[in-house]
Amino acid sequence: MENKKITVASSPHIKANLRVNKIMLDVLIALIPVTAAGIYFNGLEGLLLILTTILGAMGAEFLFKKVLKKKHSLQDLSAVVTGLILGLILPVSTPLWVALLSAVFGIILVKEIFGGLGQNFMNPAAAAKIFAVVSYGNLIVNEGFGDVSFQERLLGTAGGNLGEASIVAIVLGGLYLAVKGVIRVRVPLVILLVSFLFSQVVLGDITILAGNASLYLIAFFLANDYASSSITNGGKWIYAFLVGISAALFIGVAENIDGAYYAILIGNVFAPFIDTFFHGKVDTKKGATA
Amino acid sequence: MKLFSISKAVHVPKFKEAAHVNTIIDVDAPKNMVYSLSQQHNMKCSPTVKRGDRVLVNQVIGVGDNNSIVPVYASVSGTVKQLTTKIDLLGNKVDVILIENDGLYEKEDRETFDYKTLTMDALKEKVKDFGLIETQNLSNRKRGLQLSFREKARNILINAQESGLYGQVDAYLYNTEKEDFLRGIEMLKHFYPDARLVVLSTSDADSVIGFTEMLKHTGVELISKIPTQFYHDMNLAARDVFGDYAMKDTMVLDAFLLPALARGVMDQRLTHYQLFLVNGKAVETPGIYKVLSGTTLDLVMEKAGVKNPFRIVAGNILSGDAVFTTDSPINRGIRELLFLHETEVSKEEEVNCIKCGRCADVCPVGLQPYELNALVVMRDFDEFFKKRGGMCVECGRCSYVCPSKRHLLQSFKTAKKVKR
Repeated sequence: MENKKITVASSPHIKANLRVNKIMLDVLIALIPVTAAGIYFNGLEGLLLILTTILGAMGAEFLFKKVLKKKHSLQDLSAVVTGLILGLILPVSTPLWVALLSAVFGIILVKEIFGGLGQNFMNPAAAAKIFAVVSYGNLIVNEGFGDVSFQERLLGTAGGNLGEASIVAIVLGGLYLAVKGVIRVRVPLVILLVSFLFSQVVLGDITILAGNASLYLIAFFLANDYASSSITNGGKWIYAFLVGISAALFIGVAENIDGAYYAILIGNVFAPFIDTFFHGKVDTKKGATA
Repeated sequence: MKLFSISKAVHVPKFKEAAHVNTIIDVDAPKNMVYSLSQQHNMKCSPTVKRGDRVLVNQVIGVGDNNSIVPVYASVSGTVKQLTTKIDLLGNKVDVILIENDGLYEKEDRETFDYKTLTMDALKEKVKDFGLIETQNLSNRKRGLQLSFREKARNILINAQESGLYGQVDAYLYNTEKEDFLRGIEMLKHFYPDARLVVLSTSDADSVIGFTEMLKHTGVELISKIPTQFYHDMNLAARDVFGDYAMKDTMVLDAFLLPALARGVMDQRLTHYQLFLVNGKAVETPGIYKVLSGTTLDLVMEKAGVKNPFRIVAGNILSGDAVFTTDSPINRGIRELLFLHETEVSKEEEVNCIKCGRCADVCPVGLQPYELNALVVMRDFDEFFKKRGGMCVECGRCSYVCPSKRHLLQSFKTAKKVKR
């Protein structure tokens, strides 16, 4: 008998389209309108900022893996996503070296030290942003949007953080992710609903929070980071509520214009705890069909 | 749109509804038959023949030492050549009996009985003697069919759902074994006069096979439109049809064993052949293959014209095991053999879990596979069973949807084996 070679591996033996890099690519595609709007309204310096953070994130990950003598994991695109999101949540006037430093901080201290992809306990981009704001407060000045009308805020104006230029662009990207099934709609839905309600009922004017683009940015992009958010479907409701209410408090009551990013970190830290309430429910009861 | 809903059904995009295969190909029994003495998972029989003995068809050649092990029968007449060990298809070392087939097929007579006088215990004993193996209970893999029979049952589910994505074997059941299938239903009615009988079938089986027509005057209900696919676990099927997960008053029978059961109970005839689907891109003539038990895999490969298989899968494409060797007999209970070409096999490597939660969304029993997998990786088996890992029905959906290609199913199988 001829010598045939067959391979043995674990199931599934069938090919599936879904891969980590496909998910990350979808996120990148969803961020295209946000990035385009940011650069269009804030000028080409925005592009330079984004390139700095992306290259910083990729370089940091590459070097860290090199030091550990491991194969680099740039092909999963998660470093690119982190870098791009970080670029979008920094003000245009950020010095490039601060942006680079915070990208390195986000990748190495928040993501890689804890085990790399999927092991980070908080969102690397949000943590890097907070690092930059806390460490280099004078250099990173978010001037906000001043007195512009709500319609202008929806369509787009200069000012604020780079990615916050246009609310419409953010929602467009978010809807793409929702339709593609990358994110669960309940998270952005609850965050936005809670903060709008808070704005309307407590502050008396819905546009205070509805006109703050950072809320949309965290609702659609940062709060849905798989690793740092709640995994269970029940837990997602509570997690989103927690993020929404903290963001509303930080922005609306404490009048911190970057409050939404702090809210994300608060939600991230509580997410594993929230999940413990929804574990181990085995589905043995189901309505009979016959 | 599945924006808000949690769909438990996995949509495998490349395959639409699996076709019902109609071609039936007989494989001639070879000169040298190989009988595995370990047909059931982790259970062994001891041989009752020795080298040089002459055996007849229907003769018992291996018996187990407890109630759940079914005996092994010779399916040919001939001489015992050797008692030895071999690696079976799934990589386990098993005892085998090699028998030289003399081509005469002389039969040993079996005792006759009237099934109408049997008590339930006697029936179970008889069913055990048929050597039939239940395949639907995946958390307790491959136990003898006799254990499915209960003293009393209010509901009886005849499960004709096929898990195959590469084609369905059920056409054989309705075309060739229709008579015995209907007789099997009569027999069940005799033993369980008050029970409600339900046949569970795939959603398109009715239009293709004409199931409604067949069951018209039998008083048996047909259920074919259940959204969830792949009911190859009896607890799951009982849950979704009767709402009775623990199977307190439900009995689930494999529809493909029912004709053999009817022949055994009513005619005292044993069923020595095995049926399975052969498909995949490396196969020239796909179809339902009918072999005598004891036939080795390479004969089937020869008959099917298999060329350069990259991987051979015994069982479902989502949950089946890869085959190790080709010169071993085909285990009872294997319903599908897939010979996959290099182009259709997933070769992607495992990367970090990104905790997306997709595995938990598709789990039919509502487990958290990502968490259980982490426990198995850390060898914390006690915690694994505490978190109900033992309830995994091994459907393989979690591994399929995983974007990181974690070996979820494999690690659960390992954990269960270690504990058992």
